[in-house]
Amino acid sequence: MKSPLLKVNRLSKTFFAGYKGFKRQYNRALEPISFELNSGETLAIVGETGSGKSTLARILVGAEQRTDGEILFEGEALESRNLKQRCRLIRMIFQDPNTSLNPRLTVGELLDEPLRFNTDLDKQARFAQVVDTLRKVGLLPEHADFYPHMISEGMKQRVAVARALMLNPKIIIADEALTALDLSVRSQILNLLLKLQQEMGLSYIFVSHNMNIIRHFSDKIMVLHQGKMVEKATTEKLFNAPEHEYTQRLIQEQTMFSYKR
Amino acid sequence: MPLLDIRNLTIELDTPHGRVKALERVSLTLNPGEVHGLVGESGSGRTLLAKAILGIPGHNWTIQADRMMWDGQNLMDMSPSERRVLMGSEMAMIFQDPISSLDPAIAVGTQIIEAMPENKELPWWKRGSDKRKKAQQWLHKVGIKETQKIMSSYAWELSDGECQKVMIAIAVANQPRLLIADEPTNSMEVRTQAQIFRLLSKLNQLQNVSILLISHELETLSQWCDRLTVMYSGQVMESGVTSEVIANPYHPYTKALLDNIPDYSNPEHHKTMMQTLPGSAPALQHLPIGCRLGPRCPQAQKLCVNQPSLCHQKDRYFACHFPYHNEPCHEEPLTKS
Repeated sequence: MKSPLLKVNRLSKTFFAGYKGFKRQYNRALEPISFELNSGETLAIVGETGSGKSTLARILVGAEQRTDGEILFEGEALESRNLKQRCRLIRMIFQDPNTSLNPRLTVGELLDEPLRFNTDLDKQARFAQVVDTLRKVGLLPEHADFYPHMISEGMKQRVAVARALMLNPKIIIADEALTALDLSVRSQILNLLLKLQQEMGLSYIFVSHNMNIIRHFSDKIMVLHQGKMVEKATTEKLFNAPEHEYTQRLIQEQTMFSYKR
Repeated sequence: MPLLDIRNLTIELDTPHGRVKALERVSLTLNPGEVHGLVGESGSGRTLLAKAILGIPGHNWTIQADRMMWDGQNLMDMSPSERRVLMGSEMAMIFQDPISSLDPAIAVGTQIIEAMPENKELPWWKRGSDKRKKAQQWLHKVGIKETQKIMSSYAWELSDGECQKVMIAIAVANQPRLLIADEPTNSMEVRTQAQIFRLLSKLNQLQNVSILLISHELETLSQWCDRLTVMYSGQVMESGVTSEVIANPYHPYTKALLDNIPDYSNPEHHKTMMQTLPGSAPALQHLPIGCRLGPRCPQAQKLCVNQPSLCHQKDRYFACHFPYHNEPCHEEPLTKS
């Protein structure tokens, strides 16, 4: 049997929380968690604040050290300190495009940076790739000379997507990437992500609390509650027959918010 | 008689690029005791409208209106001091970010007491304790249990939801007739959001406060509002009773907004492309003439370079030359201004 693209085994995280007497105390942010992700699939992580969903995303992308467990990428273990290897495979889109782009760099320089640090390409080849990626996300090559403040919010988020695409990753992690956007911009970016998934066979790990979007967009859903995985199922199964009480409440809240046409 | 009646409000901003019409011919009618939703993307001038209603204009604004009636009085004729009297007692506003709009250096309780009116019937030595008691009652009413503890703590010690509740308590302590809530639940969790909205609708029902609810989330607004007004780039696109607007949108922009909400009733639509308008909302310096949706509108034709006037049909208002399911009203086209 083919091994899945990403396999996470009993991953957990504790944060140091000070001393009690002479004994070190830890807060458990994430209980041991395991899941699998195949290529071309979208996994959604749902939960409220403090449920450890952002921590999980940050560990996967390498911004945080894991305490225990292992991450296997196509059967190979990802080391926690090897960021060069990690950032080629897994990349991230952040929540707020206004603050996640460096205002002192042009869009071209922003997109050039990952190539400069991680590949041996010369300047022309890098620029060609930047232009290529800009086209892919629906921007023009001229946009490479713009500064982030000169373009609209939707375009900024497109640039953020382009930056995530730069090193041809296999997995993109979107941590609340759509929550800060307006409705029409949101569906534009969602369309873009869907198109890229169909064209390039990307996998997404999608952290969000908007159940409406998740229901439309994801294949599998994982529900976290206070660091524990409460439920893991395919989208249809989870929404039609939620098993755990917490999931039922989440879905109930969502139906309360969605209108009836 | 409507509580608030605005006709053709135009706000012009003086910018380094010249004078810009940030709001153009906005009309809004708000009846007493209703929850009115105002939807629009960021930069569509929702906050400008709210500030203009409340009477806190910026230094570079020029406000013109055919009519701006507050319960029979014309707001345009009033002096700033008269407006100030209305502000806070008759109208109150809740701001976007509750934590930063409270004073971090003063305890929350002091801030609530500061905003409350004095009970003139009591002798002066009893007024202080009366105020404190009233403040606690209000806090209790907005759903805070440990009132003593909250009143003695500072804004930065409280959570998002608690801060917003305190803001609402401050706003309703004077028993206003209109409450303007400018994105009251921005960046909050789903459960806190639901709490705040439940609280607002409870206030609306029990205290008969009219609420102008400003948000960009059509899903939430459609649930809590009696009437909706859809704005785009400083113009009113459509207005009407919520259920009708959603079931049967006349304006292409309303239709596009509704299409942007994923529909999962049909499993075949799972992971398909969603319909969306091309392009993005115009910047303030490059506003198109006529109907501002024009360049992005699927229905646009040559006529759209003239701004359509707001038609009134059976409790629905819409501004479009080519509406869905309906005939445009045949009025004199507005002269280009």
